[in-house]
Amino acid sequence: MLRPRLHEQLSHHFGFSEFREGQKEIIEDVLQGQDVLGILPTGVGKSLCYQLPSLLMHGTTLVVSPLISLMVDQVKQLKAKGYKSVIALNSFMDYRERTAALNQLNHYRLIYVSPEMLQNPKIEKTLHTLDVSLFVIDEAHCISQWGHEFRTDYLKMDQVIEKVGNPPVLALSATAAPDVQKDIKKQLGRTNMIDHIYPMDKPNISFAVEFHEHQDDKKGRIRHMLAAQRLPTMIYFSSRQSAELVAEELNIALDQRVAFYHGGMEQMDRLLVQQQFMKDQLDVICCTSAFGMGVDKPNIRRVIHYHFPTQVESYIQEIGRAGRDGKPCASIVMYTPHDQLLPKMLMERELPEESAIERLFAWLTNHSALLSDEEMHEQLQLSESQWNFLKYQLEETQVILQSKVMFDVELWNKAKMHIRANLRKRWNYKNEKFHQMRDWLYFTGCRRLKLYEPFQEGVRNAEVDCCDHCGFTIDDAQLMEEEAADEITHNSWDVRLKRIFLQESINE
Amino acid sequence: MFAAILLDCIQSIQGERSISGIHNLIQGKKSSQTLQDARLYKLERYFGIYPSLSKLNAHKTAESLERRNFIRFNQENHPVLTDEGEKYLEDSFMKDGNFFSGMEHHRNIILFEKRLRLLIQTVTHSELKDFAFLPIVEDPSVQAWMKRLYRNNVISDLLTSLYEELNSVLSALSHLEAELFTRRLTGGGLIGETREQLAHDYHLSVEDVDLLIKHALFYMYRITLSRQENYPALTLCLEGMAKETLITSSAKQTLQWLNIGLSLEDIVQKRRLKLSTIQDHVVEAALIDPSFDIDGFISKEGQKDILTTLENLNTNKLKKLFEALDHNYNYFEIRLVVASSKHTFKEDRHAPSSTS
Repeated sequence: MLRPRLHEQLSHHFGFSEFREGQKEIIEDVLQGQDVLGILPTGVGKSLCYQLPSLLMHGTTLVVSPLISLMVDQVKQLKAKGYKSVIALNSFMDYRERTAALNQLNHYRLIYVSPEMLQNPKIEKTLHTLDVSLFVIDEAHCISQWGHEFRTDYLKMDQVIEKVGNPPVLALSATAAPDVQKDIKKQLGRTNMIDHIYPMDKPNISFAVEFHEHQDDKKGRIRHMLAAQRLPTMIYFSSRQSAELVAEELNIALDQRVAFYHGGMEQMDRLLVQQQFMKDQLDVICCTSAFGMGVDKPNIRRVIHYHFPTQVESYIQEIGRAGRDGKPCASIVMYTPHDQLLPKMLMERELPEESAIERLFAWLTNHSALLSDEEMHEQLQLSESQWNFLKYQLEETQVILQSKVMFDVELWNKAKMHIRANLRKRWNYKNEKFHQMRDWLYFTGCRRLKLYEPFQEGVRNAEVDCCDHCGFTIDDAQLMEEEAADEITHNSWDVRLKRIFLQESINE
Repeated sequence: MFAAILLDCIQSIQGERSISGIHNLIQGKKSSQTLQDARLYKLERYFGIYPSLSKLNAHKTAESLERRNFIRFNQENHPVLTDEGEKYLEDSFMKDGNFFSGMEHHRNIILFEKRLRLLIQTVTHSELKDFAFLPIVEDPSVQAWMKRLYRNNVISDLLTSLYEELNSVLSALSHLEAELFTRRLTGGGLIGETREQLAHDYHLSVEDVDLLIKHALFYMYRITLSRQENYPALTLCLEGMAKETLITSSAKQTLQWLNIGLSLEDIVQKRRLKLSTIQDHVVEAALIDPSFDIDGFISKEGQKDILTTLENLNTNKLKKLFEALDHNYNYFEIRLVVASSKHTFKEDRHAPSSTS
């Protein structure tokens, strides 16, 4: 009875005629008030699983999402589609904007909020007054100690849920191995959540890993590949600088439109690059992991990793952007022995060294309370995520209570040991993840089977040549060349102005 | 263009300020020191024309000017123009006159640009019956303005008027400026290009791309402002724009307290700000408002003293003045007199002292 109505609602509100795999099943359970854990592969449209219910339920849908840019993007897109009663509460809002939003929060059906905002007492208080009918946790793997992007501000989510009146919970993730799934439920205190787990393997993608001696070899190889087949392509880098550099080199070497994209760019330029790529005005985009969230381009044919990611989960997410139209696509990872250093450096920036613990406690001896986060970074010479880790540990061991330092020799000794142990655990975990990724690069069997092994049992049959082990070579790949970016003809400004203003037919 | 602007600033400042000082001016730092510099050296036109300019890029460009022998650095590490630099500057179009009027308009230009970009995108996409485009400008106040404008539907054939006005304005600019400006526009299904893409295609620096487009906007803004009846569509983007009087709203507030008779100390208490901040506000007011009376802060006698020393020394360096005046006046008093003496209407106000 529900089904025909749901379809109607889907096309009415979102203009889609069909649900994608898993969406309908999750939405039906959500509408019946069940707690649901949904694991859907990237690109399937996780967000629809709460966006549609938010329109059909009586109260407010509260969505906790860790990525502000993703949140802001979704709100923009919903508004463009005509869904007006939606808002994102985040730390980018200035005081006035935030007060205005809080004062009329009950007018919104769908409220996105970042986890750190939930710690803000004023926001917390306002949220209590709402009639929350669905509590959504996006990127739910961040809750778990074993999730690849564990975020300290994502903890205590169970308490938040209780404070807003224990509404039904929907936890969503694209990459959560079985142990993470279990931990999510445990952390939320909802061990009876209904599972909706969908396979994450992509039958339409081929895999290849290429080993090179030098960075220059990689560049030469990429030039060759791009020149041979002009196709919508993404190239991932782990640094902004190399993304810019290679983009510039490719621009000079090739007769194709290449641009770079990273988090350090001006907001309008970021939007322009995204839109150019969406509208096929760009062939190749050289980017960091900052690109991709909220970009739903169907016809990306190649995802090249100039640097490999620090973990299999990120890799799966990034190749998930290819071939969303279901047509053949390929992932090529380029590897030089030197590349191992980069992920190591990234990891070191994320986690403190053991010596930082002594430094921290020496600092605490001379202070009665913590300073602002920024000042703490500076005084202790820690990166943001390093400090977040330590701060959380201090709170957990009760060395810090409401920013005040608690002096107690015994407590401190215990805390130090505890923090040291946790730090080692986390390091080991990250290292394991890194090795898992590297092992996959060196793996000599079927890459498809190996890649998805930690997440699911077996894979579906590939619809394309499977991987370099199973006989795939990128040079012979048939990846549909007709989809190249539009030829950009550089007319002079007056012609372009006419085109923008749709004046061509009138004046010619 | 960036090189020429830097050279122009360096020429006017004559070795009395560092590259950082010049950066602050072009970037539009709202400190009384920077405001004062802009007045002192008659560089108001460049104030705030490039808010996103980084210190690093200003220094990099200065270094390249040094390599090209256009400038050298004096003992205090302040840049000075060389003969070659002078020649280069004379040949550049900066000297034929340009349309920058930063001090007066830089904040309005920012708003004007945002509105214009969103207006073009909205008007052309409505023509295409595409109402689900992602707005190129995210500023909520600009989006609200756009919605209001659209609901009221003020001009019957907005698309054509806007096209014709832009076409006419762009024709008056250099070919390069018109190219860059047009290719950065988003609308009618075309997506604009990034600064880096334009820099690559036209073999320019990113700073030059930014400034050439900015210059085009200054021209557009000013021609619209002066001939509103000829540019009804562009005039829409001027709606509600106040004449820029005071630079900071904080200074404005301090002035309001002053006007109802509070002392500086009272205002310090009331606003919980430092005395030096409140003094900055007063200097700011003296710089900008010709009718601002400084007699309440320093005696006529003192004003005369400071002015005489100022003229004798012919320097704008506060420290030198402070020492030459035997520490009889504090920095606030000196800055205040220097500020009010330098603005355009000084002849009228300080007639007594200049005759002495």
